Amino acid sequence: MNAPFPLPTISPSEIDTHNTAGGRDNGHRSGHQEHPALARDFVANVERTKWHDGALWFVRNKRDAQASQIPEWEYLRELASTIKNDAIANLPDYLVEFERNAIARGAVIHWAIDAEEHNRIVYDLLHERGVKRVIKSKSMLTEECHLNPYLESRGIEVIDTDLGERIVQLRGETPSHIVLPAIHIRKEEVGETFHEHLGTTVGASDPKYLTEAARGHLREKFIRGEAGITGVNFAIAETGGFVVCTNEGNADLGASLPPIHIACMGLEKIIPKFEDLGVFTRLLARSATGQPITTYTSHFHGPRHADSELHIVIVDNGRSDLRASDTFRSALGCIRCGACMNTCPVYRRSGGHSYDATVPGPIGSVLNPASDAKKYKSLPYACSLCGSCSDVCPVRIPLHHQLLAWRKEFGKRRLLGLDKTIPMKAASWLFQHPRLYAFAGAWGRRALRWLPRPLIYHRLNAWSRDREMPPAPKESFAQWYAKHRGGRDGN
Amino acid sequence: MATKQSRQTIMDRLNGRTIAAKPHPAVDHARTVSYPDPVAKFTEILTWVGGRVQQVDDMGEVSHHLHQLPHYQSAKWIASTVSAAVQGNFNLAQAEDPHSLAELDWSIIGGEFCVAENGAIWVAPQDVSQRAMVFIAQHLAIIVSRSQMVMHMHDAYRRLGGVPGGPDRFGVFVSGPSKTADIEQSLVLGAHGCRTLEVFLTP
Repeated sequence: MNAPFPLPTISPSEIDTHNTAGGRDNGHRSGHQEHPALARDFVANVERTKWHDGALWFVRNKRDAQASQIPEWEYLRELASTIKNDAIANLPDYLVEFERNAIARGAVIHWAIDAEEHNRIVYDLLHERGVKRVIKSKSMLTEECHLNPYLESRGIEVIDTDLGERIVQLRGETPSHIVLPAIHIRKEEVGETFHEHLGTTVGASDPKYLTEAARGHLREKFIRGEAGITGVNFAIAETGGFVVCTNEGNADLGASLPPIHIACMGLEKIIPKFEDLGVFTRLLARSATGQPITTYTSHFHGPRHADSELHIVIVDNGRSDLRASDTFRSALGCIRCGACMNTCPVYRRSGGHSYDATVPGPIGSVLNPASDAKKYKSLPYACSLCGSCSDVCPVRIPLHHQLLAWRKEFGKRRLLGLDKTIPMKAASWLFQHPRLYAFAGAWGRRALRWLPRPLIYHRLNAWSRDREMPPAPKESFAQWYAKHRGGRDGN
Repeated sequence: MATKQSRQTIMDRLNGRTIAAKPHPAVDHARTVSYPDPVAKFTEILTWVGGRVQQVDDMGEVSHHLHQLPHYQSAKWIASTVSAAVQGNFNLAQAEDPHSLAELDWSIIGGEFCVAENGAIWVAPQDVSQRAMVFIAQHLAIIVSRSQMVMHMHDAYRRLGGVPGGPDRFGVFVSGPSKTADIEQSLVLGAHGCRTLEVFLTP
């Protein structure tokens, strides 16, 4: 369940190169497409869309059931938000404190400005020690940095050990959700993939059987792994240690078997005090998967013993820029639980890959434009502004306000297409002329009733795509009001 | 060294911007949940997440209960750090390389305390082989005193009071057997860690 952050500063062309080298891509076409275009294939399969929607809503309901059992739930959210805001505000001090304490415990700290430097540090550590086989547990940061293809193209085998991540890795895809990487894949498809790669029975789709097969396959990889890479859920400034949360136990096997443990973290993973873990471990799993806590909540403070190594790579990759923004800063407080995705009506129906980013969903739609506003400008519009994401966020990030703020920002930066600017200008002009507005409304209502269907249902009218227009009312609200409340001053 | 320059660059970027925030908050314990019967709550939650909880009067009962289980009867290798309950037949002292633990059918370990709200048990292994045995064995049994029970995670961290763990300063909260729901949200127990978890609550 560990999950760091997006903000890739590598250019799309570099990513394509890496993908080819690592034999890994999204299943997306080359070149970037906007959310509506990428979502089209997904929503075309109505049955699958409904299934995906239902699977995530099931998780959202589990989250609600857990949250309702904690009477102080809202108080915990308030605490989490305040702690994170303090951590982000005083980040330089806390980072220095973390570094000092971690070194005192025997860890080696590395600093990376961007994804490229992060990848190089990890590669150099492995290369210098002659490591050829790495076992890795879930880390959204390493996904963000495209670490796997970087290492693979340099002759190092990287095995994702989280079951969901292993499934997408074997299929040559990327995770579509930060906590549930394979949520978009049907069990029959997992069966096909496992038949091809792990030799399971043809047509087998029983999750228990498939999980057992993966357990056997990955056990062997664990035993042969020469170094373990994990993410970091929380790094504690006060003690110089960090916490990793998993259900499968894969991070712990990866960190206890090989003599080298490399932990990769975005610099926003810092929390000030040891006791803060009390707040976050109560919120994380309940918000993420509706569990009271993850099966394993592991605390690492220094290497295992004198003959083993613990390296911690602290990565910026755009985070310090985000911290400088008064509007979007609080998004750095994200603990990567995925609750905003599970509740988002757009995410549930369009699938994670339609966001074309490491972190999809509402939080991804806030974070990704910060790294590349032009590339990701369609994401803040993949939102109905319903506000459900803000309601479930365990650290109270005002997500839907930030999504709206991005739209304003795109307007200021002149990034919006004519399809968004011209209708808005026209509407603005019309609203400033009440008589004309009434006149246009009257003719609009008539037109809806009288015009032949092809003149209403066509390519330019996005509102008529996949849905029927509402029946035109006989009168406008102003007419109705005058008739029923006229002369009584609204009472 | 590049990483040193990068450290400075990152620090300069962060220090270039002063940000005001509310002070770090302390948890008001009057506002946190409390259970009238924490042992019952702990048992309820741990059972719900797939573990099995049994109250025993003494260590002898632990062995008795374990011997009822078919997958204990058929076990080939058993390692134990609680010799008062189970002797085991696997010599941990000779397992300097944690990989040698891969054949373990059972690990029998001691827990320090329990958390009522989420069925978690704090385990602080004393060395690297003891650490690996928590995760690598097919089945896990934890023996812990029911008198060592805290209400919630705030109390748990207060009790730990700082850097946790044994000499290698590693510690883990374990709540249930390892699990995954990565295939169509179908819950499967026994992902990479233990397939089953037996918890024995001693007086």
